[in-house]
Amino acid sequence: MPRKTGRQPRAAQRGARSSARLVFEIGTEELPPAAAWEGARQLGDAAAAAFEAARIPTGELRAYSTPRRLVLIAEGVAARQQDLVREMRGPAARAAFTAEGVPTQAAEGFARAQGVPVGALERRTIPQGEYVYAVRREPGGPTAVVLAGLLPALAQGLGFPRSMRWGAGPVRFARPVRWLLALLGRRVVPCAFAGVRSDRTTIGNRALHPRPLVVPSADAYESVLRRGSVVLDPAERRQRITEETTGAAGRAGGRPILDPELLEEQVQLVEWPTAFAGHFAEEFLALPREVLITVMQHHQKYFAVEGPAGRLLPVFVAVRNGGTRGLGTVREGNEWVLRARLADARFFFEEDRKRPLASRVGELADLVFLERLGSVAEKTRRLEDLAPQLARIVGLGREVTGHLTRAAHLSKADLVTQMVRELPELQGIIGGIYARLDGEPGPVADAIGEQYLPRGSALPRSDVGAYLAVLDKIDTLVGALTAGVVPTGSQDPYGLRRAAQGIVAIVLDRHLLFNMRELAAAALEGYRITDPDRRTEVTNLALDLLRQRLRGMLIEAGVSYDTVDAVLAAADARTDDLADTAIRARALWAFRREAEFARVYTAFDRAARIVPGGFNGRVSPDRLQHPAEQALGAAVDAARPAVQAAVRSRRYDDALRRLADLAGPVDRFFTDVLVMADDEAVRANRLALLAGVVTLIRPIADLSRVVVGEGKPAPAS
Amino acid sequence: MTFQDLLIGLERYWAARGCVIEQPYDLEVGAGTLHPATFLRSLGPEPWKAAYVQPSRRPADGRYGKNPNRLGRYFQYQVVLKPSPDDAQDLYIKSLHTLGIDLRDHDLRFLEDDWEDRTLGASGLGWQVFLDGQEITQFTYFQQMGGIELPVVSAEITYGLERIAQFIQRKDNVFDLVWAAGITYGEIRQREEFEHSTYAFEVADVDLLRSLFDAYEREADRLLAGTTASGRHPVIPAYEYVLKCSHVFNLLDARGAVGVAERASLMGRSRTLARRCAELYLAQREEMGWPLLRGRPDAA
Repeated sequence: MPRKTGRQPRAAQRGARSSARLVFEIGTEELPPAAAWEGARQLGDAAAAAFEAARIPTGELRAYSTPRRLVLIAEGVAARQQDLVREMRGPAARAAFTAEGVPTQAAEGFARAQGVPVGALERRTIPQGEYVYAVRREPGGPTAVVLAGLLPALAQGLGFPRSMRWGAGPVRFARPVRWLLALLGRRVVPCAFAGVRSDRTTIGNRALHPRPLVVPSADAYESVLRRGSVVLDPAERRQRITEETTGAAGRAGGRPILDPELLEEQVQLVEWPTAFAGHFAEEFLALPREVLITVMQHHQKYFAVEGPAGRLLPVFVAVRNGGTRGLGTVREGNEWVLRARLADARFFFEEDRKRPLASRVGELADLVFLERLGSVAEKTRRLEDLAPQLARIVGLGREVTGHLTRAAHLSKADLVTQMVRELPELQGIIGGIYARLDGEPGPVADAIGEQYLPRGSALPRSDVGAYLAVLDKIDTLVGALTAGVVPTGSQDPYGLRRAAQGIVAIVLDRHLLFNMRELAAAALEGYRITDPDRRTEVTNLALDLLRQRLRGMLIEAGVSYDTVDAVLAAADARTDDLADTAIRARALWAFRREAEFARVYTAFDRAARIVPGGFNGRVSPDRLQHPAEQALGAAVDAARPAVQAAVRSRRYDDALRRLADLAGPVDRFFTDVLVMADDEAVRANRLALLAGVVTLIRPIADLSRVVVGEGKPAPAS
Repeated sequence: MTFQDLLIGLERYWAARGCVIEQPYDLEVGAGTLHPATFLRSLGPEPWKAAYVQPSRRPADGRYGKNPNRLGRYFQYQVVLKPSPDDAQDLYIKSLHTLGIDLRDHDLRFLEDDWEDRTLGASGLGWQVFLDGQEITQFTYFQQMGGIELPVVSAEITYGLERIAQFIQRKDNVFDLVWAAGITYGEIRQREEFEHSTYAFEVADVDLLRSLFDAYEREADRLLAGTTASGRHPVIPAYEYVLKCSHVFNLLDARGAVGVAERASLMGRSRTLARRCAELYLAQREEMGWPLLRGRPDAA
């Protein structure tokens, strides 16, 4: 991005009279990284809309954030608002003027009401005829005046996941607001927000330049910040962190593991990044890799470093908010802290390893699973009971079932280890490691390690892990719904949407074809709900949540929303099979882009419309009189076995193509035959024939949900 | 810098910034926040500035004096500033300066940390403060206390004295800290850690503790509900019984005697009492005409 620095040439200054650069900086105490990202995003979006609404033309708008500031920069902000032109249509011209062109009372009344002289009324011809118009032009005011209200409103409008109050003031923000800088060109835009008045001062880096810095003009803003050891643009900070981290790790003989989440967090933790490598004792490398990485990344926010062979080196890279002064002290301090953390971790590891994981299952009785859902011991028992049920529903072999049941038994035991108490991020992962060291079968250990996936884009890689992950989530989902916890709006305290999303992601990833309703019902057994209505209600809620997630994921994958809705509305229990629904969605989506689709749609839509709901007649072949009728009957009979066979073996693309053969006969039928014949028996027979056509496609989709002429994917819900 | 120099340095610093130097509360508490100088004073509109050491009891964290970084009883240095001043962070940073920590030679971070104490019905937003990778302080803007939304927000600064001293003295083991010239933290406190751990994990009489919880709760309830002859509720004595409940709960928990359902129930009972104390305290201060507001038009 081009940066202007220093004094502007004279010509540019003159030009600044008609437009100028705007910088609006909300100075805060340290923002949570998520709030810094979110705040800048909202500020940019809201500013574009606000400038437009205020009729202030601008050049490029950019929003930035650092840990201590949210910044809006607008280039080429016009010095004045555009005029507002209001046009109001009045009476027809012939009512407004006499033949001689003299204004009538109607014209005068209209002009008066609109506040314009009658002589200013304009005549315009529009398709409806000739009318008079009142055109009012409100001249735009100076931008600086408008900004005094607009900028605080922008700040006020920002919303954060969690906001707070401070002092005795009523304002809420992500963290306390401490200063405001608002400069239009060389001038301060006088305004106030959160009890702070705008000025031309900003504050530099907390350690290096903690004092106010005067910004002479908006053009000089970034260069003043730079003198104050602040890099404004997160992209530049990210690049600096990446380069310096890579360099520091390289000098220590390795490559950094640039965990993307940690990197994004670091970008919003420092205003002037300086990366440096530190070391820890070789002996700690005896700890499991995951433990080392967790301690470094999650707890100390260091980047771990790998050697050429992919093994961890006894090296970390930390990023400091500041320059190189005292770097030796900072390194020494960080090394000292990491040594203590790793010594703790080694202590926990050795303590935990004194007993096998299996011996801890009993202690889970004292651990709350989720409020109102009992203990983790109860959860474990439910998972163990559910494992053979899932095996039956999905159709798993004995060995896999055995592994799954064992993995379920051990799955939560690591929650009472010291390691998880101290490093909660390791739940599951450390259980898998301990299980392997205890000599549990590999698939059992892998499954324990994968039970909390998906995390980000990481999905279970082992079969048993995928099944255990599904069990864990369906139990939580059904249990929470039993307790009356239903996610609403942004409220989802038990993470049920995430659980549902996880189930769907795994089912689709692994292509698990089974009836989810059956699994949900089996999971419900563990919660001992006796009321059958309540059971049905909870199962329906669970399936609804899962289908919503499936719908969102298919739409996100590019399938149009109405295609997804059509397959979700298919007949019988097919939509209870999520993977099958996804196959049907893809087949129908592909078919929609073939030429035949339009004819099939028309044929099936016409047929579906005419058959009354709940119609239940059978075709009597001997009553088929008309050749078109007979032809359709024959076509349906011919297509049926092939379509049904294709549906049974889930070759939905074949089924749809086979159904296309019916389009012609249906067309002809509607052209040549009057369905609503006077003879009741003939009519019923014809309806039965059409019902037979509709029935054939219903297991795949309800085509009436398809919005014809739309093939565009809608935004995910 | 010895452990006690650190403490004395903070006392002097905050005294010079207008804080009342309070004394540690003379009951077992889990954190400086439970001291009435924070819990009760943070309620209502009255301004307040105080600083004090608070020995903090976390029986479940005890490790018989054998773990180099774990203590069942440790020292917090607690500062409460109400209303939170505009320069709260700067004041804190300057306090580090007086401890000989020049920020230009170090790396100071304010890392997002939202705080919640469910037994107190308390919550706040703020940071864990890290110095060269070491967590040394909790910095919190209270939003709720005793389940009551606070009209005036206090800033709470809680220094982990042992952590800071270990950092300054570069001691891997807390018991090696030099408390005063010629004597270590371990020589003063290690045996006590061993005894408290023994009591909390092995010896504590669960039945007695349960009956104590019930008795303390009853007494707190009686004081909060009943009216004395003079017509006044003894709020602070009631609150002290809540603190006793809280400590007994912590002991039961360390002893492994609290099951799942019971935990939620005991915490809920404790929270209810804390809320009633808070409400009654507010009513009482209001009745008294918010004494600390007088002559301070700038406050609230």
